[in-house]
Amino acid sequence: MTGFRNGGRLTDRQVGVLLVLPGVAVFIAVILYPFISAIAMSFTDRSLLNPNYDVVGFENYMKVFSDPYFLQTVWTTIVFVVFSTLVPFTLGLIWAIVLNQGFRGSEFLRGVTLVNWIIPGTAIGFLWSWIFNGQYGILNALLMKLGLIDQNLSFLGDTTSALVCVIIARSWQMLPWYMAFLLGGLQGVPLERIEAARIDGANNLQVFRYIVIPGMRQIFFLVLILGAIGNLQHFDIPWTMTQGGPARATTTLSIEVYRTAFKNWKLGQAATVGTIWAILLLVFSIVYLKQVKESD
Amino acid sequence: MKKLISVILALLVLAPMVFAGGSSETAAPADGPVSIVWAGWSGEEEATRDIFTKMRTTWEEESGNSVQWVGWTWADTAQQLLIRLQGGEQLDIAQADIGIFNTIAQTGTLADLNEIFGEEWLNETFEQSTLAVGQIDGKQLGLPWSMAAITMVYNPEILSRAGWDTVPTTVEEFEQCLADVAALGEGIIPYGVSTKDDTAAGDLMPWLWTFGTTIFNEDGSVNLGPEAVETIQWYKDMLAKGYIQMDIGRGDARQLFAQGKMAFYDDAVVAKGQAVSAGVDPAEVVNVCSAMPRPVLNEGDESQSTMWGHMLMIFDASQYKEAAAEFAKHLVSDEVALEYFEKNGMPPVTKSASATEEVQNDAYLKGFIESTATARLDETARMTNASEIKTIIVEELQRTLLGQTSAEECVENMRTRLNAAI
Repeated sequence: MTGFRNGGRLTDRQVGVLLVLPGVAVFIAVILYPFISAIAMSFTDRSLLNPNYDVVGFENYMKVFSDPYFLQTVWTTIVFVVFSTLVPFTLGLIWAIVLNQGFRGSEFLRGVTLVNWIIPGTAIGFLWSWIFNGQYGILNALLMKLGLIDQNLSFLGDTTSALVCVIIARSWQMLPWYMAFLLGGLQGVPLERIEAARIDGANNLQVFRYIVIPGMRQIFFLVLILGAIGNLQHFDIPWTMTQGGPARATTTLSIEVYRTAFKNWKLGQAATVGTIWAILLLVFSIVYLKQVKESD
Repeated sequence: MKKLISVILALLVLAPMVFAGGSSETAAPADGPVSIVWAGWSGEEEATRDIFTKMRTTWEEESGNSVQWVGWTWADTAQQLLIRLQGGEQLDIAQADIGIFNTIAQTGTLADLNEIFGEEWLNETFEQSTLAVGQIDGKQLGLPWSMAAITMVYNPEILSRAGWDTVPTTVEEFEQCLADVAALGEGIIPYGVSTKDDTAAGDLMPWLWTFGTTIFNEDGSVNLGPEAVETIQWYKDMLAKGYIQMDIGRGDARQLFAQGKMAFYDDAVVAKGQAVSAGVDPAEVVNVCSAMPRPVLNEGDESQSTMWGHMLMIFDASQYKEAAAEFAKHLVSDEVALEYFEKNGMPPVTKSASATEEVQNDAYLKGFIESTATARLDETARMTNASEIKTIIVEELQRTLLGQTSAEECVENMRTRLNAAI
């Protein structure tokens, strides 16, 4: 490698810096500056109603933590993230195993499965709202036809069932994403090891437990972490289906930030919730980065 | 090669800075034809898109100026206006309902229309009661465009099948009527009072007034007297008896009512549009969708309803305030306002248009206009954090309806949270 300037030419290192520069500039403008600006905003009383604002120290943080419903929002977020990650992960794994059998039509099925993932989140939200609607939803019509209920159930009007409905919709959306990753992982498990285990008398469950799982541990971990990060950031399905209700039952941190900023106009307080949210995300991101580094 | 790469990269880095600097200049007002920006939501909606286009084009032909429409959904309008205002983008005139008007007025960006139109013209053209809706701190910040009341709407055919040829006038009669509708067993929801989103707070308010209390006192402190507990308990009882349902918002109610699956709900004059969209002949609308006074607690009490209306706002920072004012005059003119009324049922507010026979004799509008006489402003209409207040009310109401708290706890929780929010 050339270490010094030669005849007015740039060194490799200088060219490298110049090549990285646009990326760094975009990163600073699009991610770093807004991020630092949001943290700074969390210490102000900035509002959408007035461009002038004052620095208020930790007042917003005290307000947020003294809100009796904020912890409920954090808990709802955790429940949403855990179930919206584990449910499609489990179903995606089962589906990946089925598709990995390589039967006729499996490639077509793989393509069809991906459709859920392509549909925009808001469209999925409206689709599932219609399915679960308490007055004219098709689920109620189906249950009624089967004689399982004698009057419509308000799936989205009850605190427990509303969260379950939102998790189902999100799981339906994300199942192909998990399936695609896990199928790739399954195809990477050496066939010779599976065949050797079968010759030694291992049944399907044993092959899965002692060969497949250890071989896919890395990908399981990465997919779960990435899925959890995605769910922690997720907004559109819960918002379009329930707008965080009823009685805050489906209000996650993303909805809380949106509502505080764009319904209550309190940008400073929204930035405070956003900062707390970012800290939660940071935990997952650090674990993810550590794992990526280790796998390298 | 490396030199070339260096030059290209340097240009790429510098170019955005150069262009960013160049774009900060603002255009000076021109003497010739001007282009004004009109913002709102109705131009985006199927039912009103055509007439909004016609409103613009007819004025463009008359004045030689042009109007650029910027629209969003109704739910996004307030936030988009605020973002546009803080971003310093051109905004000359906007459509607003009472809630949006209040939010934007709090920013201090609206022009005083007394200075633009002159008090004389305003007083000659509009009734004092309608002008008052657009006044804040002695300034006329909103120009009345269409006004009536949000009152109760009922389906006369369903009531007739339930044995009611007249509408119930007291709460007791109302409950009996709901029971009779429920007894029809046709899967009809007796009363589609809103139990989700902000509209649930809007629907609760006139019932609180009916039972004899308010959310706030005149000095802005929280009131919620013992009658509030009675009102919430009444809601709970109606839910238990199947007269009302959870997960019903204004949109759901409109849809179900238009399909003949709901007997009563609360709405403004725009209810007609949904019925017409569902295939009802505009001339026959009153047979399936009529306005009525809200039942009172005791005979002789005043029926309660909430003021509803659309206004026009002109922005103080606009470089084309005169053109925007001319355009506003065009929009409230008899010719345009009566066509808007004819096609979409939006009641005109100018003295001259209101006095015309077609408005006076409109059977559908009659009930709404009668309710307007005693209509009150939504209690949050002049609050900067109206949405936050409504969210608190709805969340606590929902908790009680879902059995998590009692009516007493509901009112106490509302009081605690509202006190912290005001």
